[in-house]
Amino acid sequence: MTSSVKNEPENNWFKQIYNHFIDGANKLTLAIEDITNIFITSKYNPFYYHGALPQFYLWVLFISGLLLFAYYIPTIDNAYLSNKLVNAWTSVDYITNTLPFGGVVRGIHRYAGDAMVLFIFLHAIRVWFTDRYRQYRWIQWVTGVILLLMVLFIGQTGYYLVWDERSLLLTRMTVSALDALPLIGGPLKTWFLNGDTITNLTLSNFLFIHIGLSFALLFVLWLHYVRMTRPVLTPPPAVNFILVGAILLIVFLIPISSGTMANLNSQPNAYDIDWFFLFNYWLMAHMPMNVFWISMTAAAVIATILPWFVKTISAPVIPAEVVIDKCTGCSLCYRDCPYQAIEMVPAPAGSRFKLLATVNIPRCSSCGICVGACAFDAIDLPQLPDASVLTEIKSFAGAK
Amino acid sequence: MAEKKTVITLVCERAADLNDLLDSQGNITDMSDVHVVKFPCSGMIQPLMIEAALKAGASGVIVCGCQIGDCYYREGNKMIKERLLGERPPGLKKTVDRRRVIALWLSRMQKQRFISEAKEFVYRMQALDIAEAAVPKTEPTKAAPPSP
Amino acid sequence: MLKGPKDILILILAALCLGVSLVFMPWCELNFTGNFPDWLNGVTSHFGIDKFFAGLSAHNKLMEIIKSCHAPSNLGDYAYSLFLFGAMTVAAVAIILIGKEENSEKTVLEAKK
Repeated sequence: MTSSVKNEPENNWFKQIYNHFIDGANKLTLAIEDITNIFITSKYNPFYYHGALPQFYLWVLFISGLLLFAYYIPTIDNAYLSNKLVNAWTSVDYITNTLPFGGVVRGIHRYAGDAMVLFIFLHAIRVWFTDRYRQYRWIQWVTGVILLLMVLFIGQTGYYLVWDERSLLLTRMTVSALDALPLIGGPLKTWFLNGDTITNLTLSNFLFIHIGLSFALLFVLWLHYVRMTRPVLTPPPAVNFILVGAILLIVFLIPISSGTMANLNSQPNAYDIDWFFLFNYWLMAHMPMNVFWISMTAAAVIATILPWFVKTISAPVIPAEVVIDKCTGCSLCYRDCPYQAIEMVPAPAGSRFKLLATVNIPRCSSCGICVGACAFDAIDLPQLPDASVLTEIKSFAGAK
Repeated sequence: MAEKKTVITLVCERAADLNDLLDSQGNITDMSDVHVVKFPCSGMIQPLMIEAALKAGASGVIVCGCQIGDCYYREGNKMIKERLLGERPPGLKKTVDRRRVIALWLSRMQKQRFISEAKEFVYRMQALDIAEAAVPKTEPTKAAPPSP
Repeated sequence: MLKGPKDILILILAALCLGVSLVFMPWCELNFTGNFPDWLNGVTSHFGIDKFFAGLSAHNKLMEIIKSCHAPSNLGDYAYSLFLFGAMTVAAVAIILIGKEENSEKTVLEAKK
């Protein structure tokens, strides 16, 4: 009677294997979460806040970043140019070694960034395994991919800002990567360097990108949340304490220090890699540049079109329908709809009521929460009218 | 004398996976007095469905949705939970016997937990039915000595 | 008031959190000494607090743990970070113990009347 998830034999072997995989992944996810619930109950289960975790780290990054920004100087002057060195590297050195808690704040900033990338990946994987990225949820998924790419790029610019030998090497590798792009490579390279060579303007550009794009994240996050009513934006405070505590522990265990100051005349060729943000540089170093770009682009495209790429076997969404004669405009369905799929419009002329509910069809998930909210039998899922549900209930309730 | 009454279970398809347990009629195979009605989401359950079930003679109603915090459609289980607790309209009428309604929030894997809770609930409802059948309805429930 | 082992555990965790916050964190800020600023001297010398703080650095095991991070500078700051982690984690566990809803998987309606 109700639309069930697996209802037809599937000839396509790829879909069969894929569905098997997702089913297994879903069960594994739920099993892990059930075990977690035993200890800390669903109220504190961090798996149920998987989207809010990276959002929380974003706030940690904004605050720690603001503190670092107060003392950071985006210039590249070195001993070649002036005696009293005041440049990006010395400012970072001052923050790390002289300012009270400077090293700790720097560590918090770096490790919160790593943690954010890790939790974004875990968030994406859970959303994928629990099948919450398709159809009416496509905007959340697509903006999520965009957000991830932005976060990765922002993190990379953070590494350039330190202006040690690693930064110089990464900058040069980025320039060669951009150079390899047809047509747009040249202009992109000029934009990236803010000129034709590395100058002070380059570093201030990196700082602008790092901070500016971080604020742009807030706009894309708005898009990410806009189709959800009451999005869960923050985990409970106890979970937040643990999130911050974990970062503090890692800051203690692995203090951060800079490499040697960058010198434009030197050719550094090795660096410590941060796998969260710099994995693409490792790839760049181990394959031809065109292979690198093609595979990165393919990965981004596949990730973006995942909602349409794999259409698993589930019934198509049949949107809810309002019974216009019965709707009183009470707005309960509008309030309760989880996906902003109901709008209240002025009732037609001649109606006793002021408002009428209407369903925004592409946003409807066919969940029926609006049906549950309606006391007037004025909205229905066509494939499961509540009249038929009531008939079934009554016939079996009185059966014996 | 007490005839066996049915317990109606209103369950969401993504909560505890009961598919293996059902016979062709929708009753649970070794608990044939429990009939299961499936919904895409527990949020679709209307309190008047619960009222209708009890009024039509059901012994009790079990509502089963996903774990709170993990509704597939984000908020459905919280909605029905609040409606049952009277924190969100529409709610249960005052005349509904609240002892005969229970709500479970279980993940897909928690079939065994559902079975044990359902068995306990059926047993409690049977005891309630027997207790109520034994009390004649015309007399007051608390027999106070008649005042002179 | 104390209803069982859980309540005792919560009290212990709260005491730990307070203890770490009031003892170890200031001790790290003072760079593992008892050298309080002048305006606090009246209080700290009176109760022997400054001697207690100065004495803490004599505990070799404790100093070993603190030095294990191999901080390039400002060891006190990193040690502070470690103790803050401890205090926050202990506080979080206590909050979860207090706030977790037993029976979150079942909702029984209160019978009115």
